[in-house]
Amino acid sequence: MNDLLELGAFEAASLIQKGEVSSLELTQTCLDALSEHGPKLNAIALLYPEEALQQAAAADAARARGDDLGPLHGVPLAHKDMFYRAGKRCATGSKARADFVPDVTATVVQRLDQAGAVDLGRLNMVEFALGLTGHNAITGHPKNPYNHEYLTGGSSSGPAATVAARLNFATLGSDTGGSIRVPSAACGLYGLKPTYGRVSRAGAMPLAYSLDHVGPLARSAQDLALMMAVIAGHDPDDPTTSLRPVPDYLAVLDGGIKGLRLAVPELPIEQAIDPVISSLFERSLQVFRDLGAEIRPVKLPSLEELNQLRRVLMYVEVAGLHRRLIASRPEDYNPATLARMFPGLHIDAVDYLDAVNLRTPRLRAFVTDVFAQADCLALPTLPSPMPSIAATDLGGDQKLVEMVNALGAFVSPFNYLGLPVAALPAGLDNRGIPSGIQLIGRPFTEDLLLRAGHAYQAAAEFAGTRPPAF
Amino acid sequence: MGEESGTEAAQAEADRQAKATALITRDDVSRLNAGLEFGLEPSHFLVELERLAPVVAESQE
Repeated sequence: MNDLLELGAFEAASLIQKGEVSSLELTQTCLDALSEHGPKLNAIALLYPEEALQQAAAADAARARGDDLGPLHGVPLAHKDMFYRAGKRCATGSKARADFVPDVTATVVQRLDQAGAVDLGRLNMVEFALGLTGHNAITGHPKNPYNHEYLTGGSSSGPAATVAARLNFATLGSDTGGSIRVPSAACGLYGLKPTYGRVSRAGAMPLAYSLDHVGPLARSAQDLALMMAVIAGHDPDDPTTSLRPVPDYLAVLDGGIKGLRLAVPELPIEQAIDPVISSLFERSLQVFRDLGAEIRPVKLPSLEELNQLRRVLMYVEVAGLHRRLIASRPEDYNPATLARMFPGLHIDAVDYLDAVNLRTPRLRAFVTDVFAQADCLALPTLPSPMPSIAATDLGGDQKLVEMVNALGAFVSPFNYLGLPVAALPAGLDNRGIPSGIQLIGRPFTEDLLLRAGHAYQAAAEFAGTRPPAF
Repeated sequence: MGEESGTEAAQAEADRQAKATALITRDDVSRLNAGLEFGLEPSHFLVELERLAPVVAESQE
């Protein structure tokens, strides 16, 4: 593997700015790596090699002229196949829209363009981003680079696989019920689901508009901060984005976390936690203790109730968007996708309204109860170790729905609440598959979460794993 | 006369239902394509998120 692929996005940008490596060299290196190893991981949807090399050559020319350089100048990146680029096919992991060519470019993609990033193309994902496991019989299930028999997690499956396998420096994902955080955990990465309203969704395929969040996955908190610095902020094309100023995420990274009040769930909680996960979680907490954080057990509100409310919003909004397609072309969908789309057609409007109306009071209660005595909350990302592909390839069986619901027990509530969450690696389990820990913050405290993640990464030796074959 | 009113009422109800049906079967494919699907309620939710954010931002401490 080429040493350049070991760089982070921040380091790659620094080397380009200093003239120590060209964008063309980096871009060609990434394209070669993605072309060689990406298909083995079922991770590639569509690469843009010609355009990427043109962009890279233009980036090198701009640097040679002495132009002002953006924070990602010349850095090649590939993203989940749901971020539209006008004129480029965007299949969103589906057969039903396999030939869809958008005529708009997603705001987040435009912002990466403006920051100088080179767009390498799009990466496989769960069909229509609906699923936490990573299964997709249409594109082939993306494979976990740590062990091809295991799941990547989803729905940002290809993005997580390529970043973990050192084929891609960082990437854009989306998270409607854990789709950034679960693949981050399963592939040993850092991920950030921002506060609802912090990052524009315009030009990103909608799944469930009340719950959709766009955010980055990377191999460091520093790269998450860099990506967030570029993509966060108000967008007139997304009326649900906040007007609140964007903090300088990179500037606060080195502040340390001495005195941080870190809440942990007071036991017992409703959802059983596998002993392996408990042990890894406790090891991560010890890192925070050693860094000067104060661990405070807190009684959590019912996460299961929040999940039930979230599912009502998600099922109805997904069904609302897909009702015509699933009626006219059901054979084009994965059975597992249909199994999670049809229920939304049968939920009473008054139940949906209840889920909408309870969202604000539940958010208020959670912030009041949990954050009165704490700055953020730590939870395992998954309650149990990531299962194998074979054990979970259940098609449209009801067991799949139950399994996905169990898998999302600790991630999905925070889509309903809209709170920011950083996903951090928690090291390998006894099978050599990564696991994760989440830090949940008050609204708009992404800067605190990134600072905590950065300190944790520097201190936790086990948080810097790499797949054995890469 | 009464019969006519009844017919008008039935027609009005049919029109109302047709309008409602048209509303709920609007072109979901084009909405997916645009990638611009936002509800109205979330803006109210956003106001609450803003209100619950810490008064002093982390980077301003």
